[in-house]
Amino acid sequence: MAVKGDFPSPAYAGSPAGRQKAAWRLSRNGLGRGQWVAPREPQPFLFFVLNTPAILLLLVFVLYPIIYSFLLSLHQYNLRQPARFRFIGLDNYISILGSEQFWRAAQTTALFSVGSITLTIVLGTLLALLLNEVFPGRALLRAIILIPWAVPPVVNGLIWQWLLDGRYGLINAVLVGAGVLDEYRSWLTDVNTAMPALIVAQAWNHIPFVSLVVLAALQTVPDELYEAARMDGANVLQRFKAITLPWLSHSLLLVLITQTMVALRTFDIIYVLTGGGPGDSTTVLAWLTYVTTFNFADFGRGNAYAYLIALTTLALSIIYIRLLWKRGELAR
Amino acid sequence: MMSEHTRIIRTCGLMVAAAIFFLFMFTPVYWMVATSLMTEAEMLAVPPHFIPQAPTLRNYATIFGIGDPEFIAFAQNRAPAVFDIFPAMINSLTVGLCVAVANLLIASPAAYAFSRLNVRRSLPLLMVYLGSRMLPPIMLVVPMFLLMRNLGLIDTPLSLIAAYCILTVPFSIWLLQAYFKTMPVELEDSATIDGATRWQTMRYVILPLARPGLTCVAILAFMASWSEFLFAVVFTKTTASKTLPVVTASFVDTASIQFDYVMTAGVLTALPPFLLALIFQRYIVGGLAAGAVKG
Repeated sequence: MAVKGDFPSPAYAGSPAGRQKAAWRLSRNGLGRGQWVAPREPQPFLFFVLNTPAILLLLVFVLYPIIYSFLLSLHQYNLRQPARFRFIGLDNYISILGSEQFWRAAQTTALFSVGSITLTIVLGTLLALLLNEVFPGRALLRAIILIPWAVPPVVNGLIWQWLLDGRYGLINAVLVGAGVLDEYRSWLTDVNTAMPALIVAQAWNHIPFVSLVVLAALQTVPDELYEAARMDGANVLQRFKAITLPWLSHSLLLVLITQTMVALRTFDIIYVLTGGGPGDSTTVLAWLTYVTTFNFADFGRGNAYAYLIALTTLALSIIYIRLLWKRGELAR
Repeated sequence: MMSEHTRIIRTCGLMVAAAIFFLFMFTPVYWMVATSLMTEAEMLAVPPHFIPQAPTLRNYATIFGIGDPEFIAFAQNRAPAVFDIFPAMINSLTVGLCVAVANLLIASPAAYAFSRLNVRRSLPLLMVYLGSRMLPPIMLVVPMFLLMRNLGLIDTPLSLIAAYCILTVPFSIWLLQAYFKTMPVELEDSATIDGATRWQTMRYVILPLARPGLTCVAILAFMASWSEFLFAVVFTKTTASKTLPVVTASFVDTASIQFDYVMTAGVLTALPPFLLALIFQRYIVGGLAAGAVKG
């Protein structure tokens, strides 16, 4: 049973203070105020029992697919030619890494990821900074940004396809009406504009998430810091650089991680917005994997692609987690 | 400090910035809703009518099979997929609710174990959960498709429920364990001192206290399932299991322009997540903050 007090007093523990003290720990409650509590007995068996459903779920639907997927990637396995099923070792990987198609898709993925992540985080942070200020209409804007956040990616893609439509699209009408363009343009079938369109659509969907997370962090900045900086004569930009940005660095890093994962797995809006085209200008790796597997029924090669994406994601995750770890954010 | 003059300029500047963001964030949704209220002829007007001149709910009525039989027959001819929307809503609802319940049943015990049972070296397991969330779904979907095919579960809601549990449970555990850690242990201690058993503590102290966190987890799981597309498009073939995003996306395969129905289906697909986000705004924002900022 836990005995608690403000300090681990020998009177509470009833044994020599020195030996007992080591086992006491500082328990932090929700208020951020520490309290000294006696050690609790670890309960490994109950821990295991309570985790069993989740572990089973992982074993059946994650570990098994991962292993199975790897084994398939070592085979020639096309559903259209089941008779040709055979073990070919790393041939799928070798042929993929030697193909120009893969490197084009890797480039496209990098372009899409960097573009959409940058746009999302910059605009999302600006929006959070704005929402942190007091002005008429703030409550309305805060409610409005929940809409894009709740819009499913497929619907997001369809909305932008309709906005960008070459014959009836609203964006064409506005740009022509304002005199920016002379005639309606077909944004999504133009090699130069399909990718920017995709990036804007993606950003529109994900800016609210970034804003909400950054705003939550902004609201914890102590006013005293700004007051002190103001006393020292720091201007707005200096205060932003010296106080706001360092305070936000943790949230921004987490947002960067989540947005990287999101960008690398983006599939839905590509399906409805560009279908990987025109040509292969928006064929990212996730899309290439899907097409190879389910359109060309090439499960061996498809799984090899999937593995290459997973390895990329894993590499990035490790870099990010180490960054976090070094900063002591995850080590409890 | 600040003169009245600077203050006014500052407020005006903020409002201009807010207006720009408002236009960018709101116009696409407005245009979706406006188009869904237009007739086919008005939808194809050039330049577009920014405000529908004769707004009508006929597109919505058609989806639910209500209204002028002649118009319904015409719609059937023009866009047969329109009549898949209602069954798809039922499928999406079933899958979403099952996944939300499954999340609570699977994630809360695990999260409780992480936050309260003082087992050393439990962090690696937590990292495994986190890591499984980082796996790209495209990697899981191929072998899971073959697994589901072998189990005969393709084209059933069950295959989607299993897949969505994998996509949501790790995050739920992560979020809930961070949430449980913010709940004061002292209340449980006092209940135990008063003689409550572990189950009584669970039922009368922890569960009521954790309700905001649990609600948040259930809603996020529901929203994720409702919106998911990749697994849905691979696992479902007929109206027996097609979910709303799959049906909505199926409109773009056809050559003719049906954006009046596409946008109507889009509104119906986006409405439930939006309403949930609006109603449970505080829980969700708090949960995202706890999940993202603290953990």
